[in-house]
This record gives sequence, structure tokens and C-alpha cells, in this order.
Amino acid sequence: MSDADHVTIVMIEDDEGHARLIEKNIRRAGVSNEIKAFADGTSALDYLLGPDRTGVVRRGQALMILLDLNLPDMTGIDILQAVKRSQHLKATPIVVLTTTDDQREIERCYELGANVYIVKPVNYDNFAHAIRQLGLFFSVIKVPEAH
Amino acid sequence: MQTALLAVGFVVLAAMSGTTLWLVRQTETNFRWTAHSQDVQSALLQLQLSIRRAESGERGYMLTSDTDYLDLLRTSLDVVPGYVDKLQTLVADNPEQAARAALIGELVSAKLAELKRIADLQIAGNPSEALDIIRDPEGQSLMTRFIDATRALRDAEIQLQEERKERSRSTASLLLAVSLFGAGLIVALAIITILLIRRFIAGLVAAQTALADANANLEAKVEERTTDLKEANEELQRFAYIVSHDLRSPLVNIMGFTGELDAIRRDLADEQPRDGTADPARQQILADFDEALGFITSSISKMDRLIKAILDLSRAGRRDFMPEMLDLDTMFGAMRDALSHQAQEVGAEIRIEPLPQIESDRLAVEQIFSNLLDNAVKYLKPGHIGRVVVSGEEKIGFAIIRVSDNGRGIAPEDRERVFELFRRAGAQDRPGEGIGLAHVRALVRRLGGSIRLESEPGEGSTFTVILPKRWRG
Repeated sequence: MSDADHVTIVMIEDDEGHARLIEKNIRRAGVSNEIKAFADGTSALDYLLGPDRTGVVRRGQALMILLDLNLPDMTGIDILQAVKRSQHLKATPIVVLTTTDDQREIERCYELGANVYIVKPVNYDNFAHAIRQLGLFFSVIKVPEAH
Repeated sequence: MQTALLAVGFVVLAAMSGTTLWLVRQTETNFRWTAHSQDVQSALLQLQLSIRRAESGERGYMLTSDTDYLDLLRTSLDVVPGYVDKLQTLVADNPEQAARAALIGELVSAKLAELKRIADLQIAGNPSEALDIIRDPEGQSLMTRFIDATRALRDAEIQLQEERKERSRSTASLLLAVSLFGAGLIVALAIITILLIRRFIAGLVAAQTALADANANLEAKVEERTTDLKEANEELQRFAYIVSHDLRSPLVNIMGFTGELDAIRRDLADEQPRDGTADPARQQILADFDEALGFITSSISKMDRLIKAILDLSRAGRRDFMPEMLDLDTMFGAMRDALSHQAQEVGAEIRIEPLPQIESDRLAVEQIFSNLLDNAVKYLKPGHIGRVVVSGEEKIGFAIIRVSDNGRGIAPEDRERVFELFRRAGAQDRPGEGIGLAHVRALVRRLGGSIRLESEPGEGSTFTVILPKRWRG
């Protein structure tokens, strides 16, 4: 177990604007954790699971993943599955943050082990609120170290 | 053609039967007449024979005075009048023969009288006188006349018989001819009928084969078209889904950074009070800024709603329907209750008449009719008591449900447009995006039904929804 401050937030979001907005609002919520941003699935998986795709590279690190479902090279679902398959990362909290509010997709994500599913609202206040809620989530959740 | 042939056959048969019957009767008559001639001749013969016997009895008696001959004479004399009567009765129908028979009768009477007289003289023992009578040529001539008369009658009767036989023969050959002709005609008719039936059956078989081919072809075509349509529909659904998704993404940015701009503006505005005085030019800039931000924000909201509508529509097309028995009376009752507040506000009354039961998807049917009821209450004519009537009936596997109102109505040129996405008709004085009816039509079509609109501007509108009684994907 580690302190929430040591948690690295891994943000996988291909839209730069969205990434920036998410980051701004996370900061605004008073969360100062390191944020690692990836704009495509492959580089994100390289970071998370390493070249051997086992996730051993992240052993001993506390991570939290912010995941967009629409990525240029793969879907967020693929990443979700890959992370949950890894012996080392399967306990890592995953927040799905996307534009889709399709019921089937939401169910699918929860079935695959996503912890939270957030729809990016178009209304700015709602959006900011959602991200701040996420900040709150950070302080409450116990993020386990990968082992 | 067949009927005419049958009629001809029937007529031929009837005519043949009639003719045959008549000819058979004719033959029978001829036969009877021939037999009659035979009877006449035999009666004549019997008469002649008995006269001859009487004569020979008389001669025998004259020669031998043996009373046996006298008995022969007497018995012969006794039977002769009966034979004369019989002959006269038989020929009574023919005047010529009757005249001859009458003459014969007279001659026979004279002869009998003569024979009697001779016999009486002989019995009285006066043979010479009796012989005188015998020698008298008068008696001889009487006999000759009798023979002549009988010959004349017999010849006439033979002549008649010959004629009758001839007639009988011709009748018989006519009968044969008619029978043969009729049989031939019937055979010909039968052959024609068989040919016609064979041709008819061949035509029938050909038609059946053609029909089966056409059916098979049609099924294949329908299958093909259905597949094409399904593919096109799925493609459209995917397209709508992707478009709305991908449109939403940049919108999140526009919205997000508009929010950021707003935050920056607030920071700028907060700086102002430090120099104590309000700068009117600066105030103006901030007001313009606010106005621009306001327009941007409201446009984003609108665009978001539209995209959401497209997304909802594409989702309605993708959702799996779960058919169940629906009690429409209960369903509409609940819808009316949900609308009662709205209806009360505008002073409208919703009446629901008895409705059929259908087996369909609950959510889809609810969405269809709550949209229609909603519209009916929403677009009433100002200053009129609104009246919305829902009625229904069943017809050959379909439920027909009508939602009628006495509202503002829809102009003819708008009747198709109202079903299109984002299109609205009439005065734009009510909130709405022009989504409801597009959604309704998409759902009705997916449920295998159709929707029709009849409307008179200023009089009201009737939406008629026809849904299959049982929905089967």
C-alpha cells in the first residue's frame, strides 16, 4: 500500500484538447500527482506493460489509468483487457472517460473490470465537476502497488 | 367453351334418346300392324276352311245320307258366323277391307242359307229337289264370288302387310342410322372434350410451373432486397453513431475551452477594481465578451442536443426488441395520467376508447404513442377546448390505432416534412427540436408497421398507426 501522492496517473487520450482539459481540471481539483499522457494505445501499452507485455516493468508502482475508448490504433476496450490480463497490473484502478454513453459499452467496460465510467459531458460545469469528483476519488481510493 | 361443348353433347344425347324412343315405338306399332294383317288372313282362312268343310259335309251327306256328314255340316255351319264376325271386327278399322268383309258376310249368309236348304230337303227325303239346287248355277256362282271376294280381301291384306313390313324395315334402318350417327357424334364430342381438357391441363401445368418459378424468383429477390436493405440500414446506423460520436468529441473541446475563456475573463474582470474607477470601454469589452460567450454556449448546447437526437435515433434502430403482450388500454391510461398536468394547464381533454391487444415491444410502443399524445396536447389551437381521442380497431392481423386532435393542424406541404429529422411545421412557438415524429416513424417502421397523417389546417390532425398484432423480428 502507498500514499495517494505517489500514485502516477496514466492518461490515455488521443484528443489533445481533451487531455489538456482533463489535466487542468484535475489540477484545479487540487490533485498534484504526476500525470503521464499518451495519445495512442500502442505507446500507452509500451509504457504500462513493457515490450514483453507482461507489465513486469511497472512492478512496485502505484498507478491509476484514465482511459478514452476511442483511440486511433485500438479501442480502449483492448487496453482494458490487456491491463486486466497482466498479473502485475490487474489490481490497478481504471477510469474510463469517454464521449460514449452507450449502455452496452458501459456494461462491457464494467464487466471487464473498469472501476469508474465517466461520460465527458458537453456542459462545461458538469465536465469540471466530473473531473473534480475524480480528484475526490483519488483521495478516497486505495491504489495498490503493482507487484 | 367447355360449357358449350357439354351443352352440345347433352342436346345430342337427348335428341338421340328421343328419336330412338320414337323409332322403337314406331317399330312396335309396325309390328303390331303386321301381326294384325296376319290375324286377318288367318281369320279369312278359317272362314274359307269352315265353308269348305260345310260344303263337303253337305256333299257327303247327299251321297251317303250318313248322319256323320250331317253333323259335320251342322257344326261347320255353327262356327261360320263367329268367323265372319271375327273377320269383320278385325278389318273394321279399314273401310275398304270392311266393305270387302261385308260382301263376304253377305255371300257367306247366302251360301249358308243354300246349304241349309239343301240339307233340310235331303232330311225331308226330297233329294231330287236338293240336287236341283246344287245343279243350279246360281249356287256355283255364289261360291265363285265368295272365292273372288276372299281373294280380294287377302290380296289387299297381303299388300297392306307388305307395306307395313317395308315401313318397319325402313324404321329399323333409320333407328340404326340415328343410333350410329348419335354414337359417332358423341365419340367426336368426347374426343374434342378430351383434347380440350388435355390442352387445358397442359396450360394449367405450364401456368403452375411459371407461377412456382416466379414465386421462387420473387422469394429470392425479396431475400436479396431485404438483405440489401438490412445492410444499408445497419450501415446508416453505424454511420449515425460514428458521426454523432465524432462530432461530440470536438464539441467537448469547444465547450471546455469556452469554459477556460470564461475563467480567464473572470480573472480579467477581477483585476479591475484595483484602480478604483470603472473604465467604460473596458466594461463594454467585457459585455461583448459575455455576449459572445453566451452565444457560443447556447449554440454548443443546441448542437449537443441535436447530436444526442441522432444518437438516440440510431440507438432506437439498434436496440433489440422484446415482444410481449401489451394491454394498450392500460398503457394509454398511464400515458394520459402522465400528461394530465400538461393537459389541465392548456384545458385539454384526452379520451381513450377501447383498444386492441398487441404483442410488441413495450418501450417502442410507449415511445411512439407518448410522442403522438404529447404532440396532440402541445399543438392545440389557442382559444379552443382541446380534444384528443385515441381509438383503435383490428383488421387481418393488424392493430390500427388513431390519435386524433382538434388542434392547429398541419399544412398539406408539411405533412411529409414533419416526419423528417429536425424539421418542424407551423408557427415555431413551442419548444422542440423536430425529433419526435422522426423517431416515431423510425420505430413504427422497425415494428413492421406504418404511420399515416391526415390533417386539415385549423381543424386538427389524425395520426393513424398500423402495427402488426404480433411482432416477429
